[in-house]
Amino acid sequence: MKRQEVDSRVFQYEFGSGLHISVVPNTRDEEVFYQEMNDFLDLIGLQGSDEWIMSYNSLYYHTPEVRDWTLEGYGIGRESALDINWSNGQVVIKTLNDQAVKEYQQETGVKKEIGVFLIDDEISTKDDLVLSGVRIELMGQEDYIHRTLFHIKPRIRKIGESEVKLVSNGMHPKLQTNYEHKQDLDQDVDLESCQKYQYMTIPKEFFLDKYQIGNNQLVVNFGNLDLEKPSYLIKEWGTELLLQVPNQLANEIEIHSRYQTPNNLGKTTISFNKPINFIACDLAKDEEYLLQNNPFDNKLSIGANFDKLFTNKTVFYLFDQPHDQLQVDIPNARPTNVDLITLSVLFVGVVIILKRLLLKNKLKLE
Amino acid sequence: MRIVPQPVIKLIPYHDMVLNRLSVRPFVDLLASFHNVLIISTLLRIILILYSEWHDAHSVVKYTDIDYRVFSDAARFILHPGPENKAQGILGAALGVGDPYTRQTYRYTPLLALLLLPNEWIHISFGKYLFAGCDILAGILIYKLLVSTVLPSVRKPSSDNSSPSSIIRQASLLTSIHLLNPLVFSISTRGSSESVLALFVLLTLYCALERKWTLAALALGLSTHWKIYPFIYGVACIGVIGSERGMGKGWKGWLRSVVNWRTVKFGLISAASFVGLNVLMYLIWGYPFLYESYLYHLHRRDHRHNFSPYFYLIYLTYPFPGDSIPELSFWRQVIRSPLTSFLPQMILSLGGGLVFGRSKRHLTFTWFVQTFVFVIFNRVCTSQYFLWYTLFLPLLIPQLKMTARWAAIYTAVWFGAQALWLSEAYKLEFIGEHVFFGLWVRGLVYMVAHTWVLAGVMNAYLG
Repeated sequence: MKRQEVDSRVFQYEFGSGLHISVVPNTRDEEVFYQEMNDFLDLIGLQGSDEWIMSYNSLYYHTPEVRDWTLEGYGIGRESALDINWSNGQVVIKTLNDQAVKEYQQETGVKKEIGVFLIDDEISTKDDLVLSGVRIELMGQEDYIHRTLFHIKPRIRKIGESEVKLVSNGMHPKLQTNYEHKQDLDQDVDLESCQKYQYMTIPKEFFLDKYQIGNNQLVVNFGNLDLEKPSYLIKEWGTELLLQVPNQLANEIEIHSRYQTPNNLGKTTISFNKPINFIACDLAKDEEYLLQNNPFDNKLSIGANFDKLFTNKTVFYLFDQPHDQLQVDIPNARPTNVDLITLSVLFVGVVIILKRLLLKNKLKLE
Repeated sequence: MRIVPQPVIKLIPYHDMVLNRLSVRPFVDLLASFHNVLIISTLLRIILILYSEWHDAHSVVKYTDIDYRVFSDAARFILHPGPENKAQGILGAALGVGDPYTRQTYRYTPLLALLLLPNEWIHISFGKYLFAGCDILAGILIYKLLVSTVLPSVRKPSSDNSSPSSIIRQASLLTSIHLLNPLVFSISTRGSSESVLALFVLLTLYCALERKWTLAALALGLSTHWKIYPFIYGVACIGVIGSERGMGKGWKGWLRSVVNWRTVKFGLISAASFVGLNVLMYLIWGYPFLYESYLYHLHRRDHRHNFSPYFYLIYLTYPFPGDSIPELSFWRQVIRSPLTSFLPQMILSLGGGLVFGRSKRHLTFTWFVQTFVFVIFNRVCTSQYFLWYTLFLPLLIPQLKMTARWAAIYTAVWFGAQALWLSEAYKLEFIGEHVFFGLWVRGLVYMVAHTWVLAGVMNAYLG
């Protein structure tokens, strides 16, 4: 879903933009699965699809844009960062809302708890946040207010900025990334080993050549891996990739265009999300407890995000970047009737050779 | 007044004149020694392979051909079997080897991957040295054929050019056309395996011209196993074998000459060689071998741009999902059928073998024509395919009656048609311009131009 301007130190929705759906089917019957899935998607106003890819531990569907959205009626805007978890017939919708004033109705027999917190910057560091504030228990008859202070360790942190450009190179555009480190990882004493990565979802109009990049660099490559098929023969929506990149200030990856369906424009314009650029670090063992008990931690066992590909003790240092999309034109054929001319030229060629074969020189070879 | 006999090759006098005018005589003298040609060719290849390693380490645009990575990966897969990478034949399980077809786009015989196993054991460039070595061996075969068979047969005893030293000098110069051909040495040092097949084909020709038909049949089977197209040479071989004991009159006589014990024996041995290798490969690597090496080619649709103008037809008529398929008229169905290219290609290349393959003397020319036709009318064509017939040029040139002027014109047209196409392909591939239509037009120009050049060469041979 769309990211929103909230304090990302606490609320961590560093997903790629657009629609991401991850599913663990509870049936082996493909038809039943699609029926059930499409019914659910229809319920929340999304179109069903059969373009799933097999991701790490779930089926995964993604579109760079959220095309249909009907949850406004429930007060959930298209721009809200949110998770929809559907399990055992129950739907849980998690959404971020930056409204300063919110009314809550007390209901008898229903316990509600509201917390109001601020980050205590005086004693917080970028790796250890202290939230200071109050919890209000709304009991129906009597309310209890508790002063509360707690310590959280964010899984996702910021380290600098990155700039991603798609450099034109015909059918093989190059994805160039430049990194600007604004902080030094060495300040963080709780880190063990670190490595820079790029996580990206690319549409089926492109592919990465896994042999060109090599297994050492291409850590994860889910989706249709065919190197030759045109995009109109690829059923899946695209590819989910995790690349280990050199710990340098710039890197370049060549992506390859598939052939597109002919159209009168002579080109197909494709947009897709920029890669998410980050450094992943293992946390020292004694720090894991805080990380895993952060009530705001958004890491799920399944999910369309890069963190599912790492262990629970991994923290991520993100490079911020504008959330606009990459766009590229792929040339394609215009529908043209070339049958007759091709056949005519073929005929001319055959006649030229046949003439030599049959008429002119037969005797001289005897 | 004494009438000077017209030389068989008109190139020679022009040749001398041009050489003197261009002051390249020292260079030509250098290449007149086959020993020198071999040393220069070998050094050139070693330097280029060493350069390729340096270049690839320092440049984003690699010197090494993408196919070399495919072969090397396939060799690695054979060496390192795993749960997802096991030879699927009956013998494969017992041998405990991996499956080269685990590597996507590997569509060659497993023998190629086996040859490149030392890429893993010794050095990643081993295969390039092997391919370069095949180039050199092919050069040696060409030289031997020129000295023993081709040049003595086209020289008149009274001519100055018939002396042994002159033959050796000319053979050396002609061999250098192959060994110092930039297309040849760049392709092998970039890691393309064409030189291995070229060596097998030349070995077949050598055996055939030496009348060692059993060996020729075995080599033909090996060549056809390596890549399917050399089967067309079998037709010409059968024609030559049949004609060795004289041709009968009429079609019955012709039939008796092509269907007799000697031709059947040749056919059986070459088929046994081909089938035997395939059975062995199938027993080890199973269905993936059969599919990737052969069956895939029966239904492949080459929609991506290549020299053949068919690519555009295939691209435009791909069954697009969601398209309502309109009813096509009969003749349009005919045009779009794969048979439309297959039939003329087979009729002309096999027909060429039958028409010209009547004498050992004409075998090189026959194979050249068959291959040239096969490449022109193939549904897919890349630069490497041109090597399939340019291989025969050093052996053919002494037999052509062609002036240097016409030779220059044909060469220019041959290269020009390619350059025209390549310049447009560059715009698509590396600039991203919408030039599919232009590429198709240039593909048509290529087809006509190369057909015209072939016709010119046929005229020059046949007079």
